Amino acid sequence: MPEAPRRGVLAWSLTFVAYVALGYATKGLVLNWIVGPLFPLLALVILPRILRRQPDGERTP
Amino acid sequence: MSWAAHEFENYVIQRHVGVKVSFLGIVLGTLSPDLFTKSLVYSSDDPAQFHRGWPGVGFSHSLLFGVVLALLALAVTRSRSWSLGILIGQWAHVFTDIADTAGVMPFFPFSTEPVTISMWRHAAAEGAYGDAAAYYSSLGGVWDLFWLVVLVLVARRTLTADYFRTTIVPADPRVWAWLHRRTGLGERGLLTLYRGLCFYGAGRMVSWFLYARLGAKTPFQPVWDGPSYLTSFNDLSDAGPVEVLWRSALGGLLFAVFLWLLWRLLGARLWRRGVDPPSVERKRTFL
Repeated sequence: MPEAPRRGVLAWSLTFVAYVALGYATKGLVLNWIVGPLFPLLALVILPRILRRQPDGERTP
Repeated sequence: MSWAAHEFENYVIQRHVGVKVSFLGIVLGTLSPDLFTKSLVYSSDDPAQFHRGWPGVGFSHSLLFGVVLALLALAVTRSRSWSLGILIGQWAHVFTDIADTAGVMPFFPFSTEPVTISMWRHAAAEGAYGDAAAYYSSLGGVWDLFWLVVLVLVARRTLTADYFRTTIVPADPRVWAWLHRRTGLGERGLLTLYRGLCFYGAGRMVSWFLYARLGAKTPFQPVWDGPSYLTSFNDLSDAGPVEVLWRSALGGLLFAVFLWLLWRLLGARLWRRGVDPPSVERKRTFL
């Protein structure tokens, strides 16, 4: 499998595991029609974009 | 009620209808029966009756409700692809929910007889968490898994970037363009958004299954009319199979006549002034 698709599969898999863990822990908070479908967008697109925009100095404590 | 099946069936339907039907319309259609009523179900005195019966909001699980929504969408937006999507999605939801003990009234108001095959017990009376635990302890959870398998076997192509580019967006170019403009999301972001419903379905299926096994610790009883640890059946009718068949057949006949009249008097006129997605219109021009 080429590098880019492999990274995509890994990212989706990790996001899925995180969602299931959060879902099990918080139930109704993330297992609903609003947060659920938007979760991969937040985790895979919006969050990395926000982190990339931050200057390097702010990202590390 | 069905849980993740309502998410997976959107993609399976989309695989069959292609560019002529809006995916977002299908999603709205499958969500519509529960959209404004589900949150009230758990707080009502008789959840099964309220959710599926009459008196109650059971009309939202009737075929006529889908027709009304589809005609409204056609009248307001003139979009044939949205109208068809809402109709197909809502009808899919109705047929999927026939499987639990409360059933649905497909031919309401011509018949208020619930139609059910009683695969698993409607368990909304147990509260939201109890309902989830019961569903994923019964054939309901297997039903969700069945739809996931169907999605993987028959419609996995719908999740690819190529399918999104060549079918999903051309079926609904204005809405996806609007989403792009309003959110600033590129193709990757919109594709992630499109796949989100499948992700949600799989995620909540696994999470609630784990909750049922490890949290609620309910016994896994995937047998017909299970789970048997529930004491109530929540069957809304005590009529026998012949009576249900007779009433439903009469209701179905009256519904078909009403549908034909509605099409002749209103539907056909709205359909004629409606528009197809540009890609469908181009294909018709070539023919």
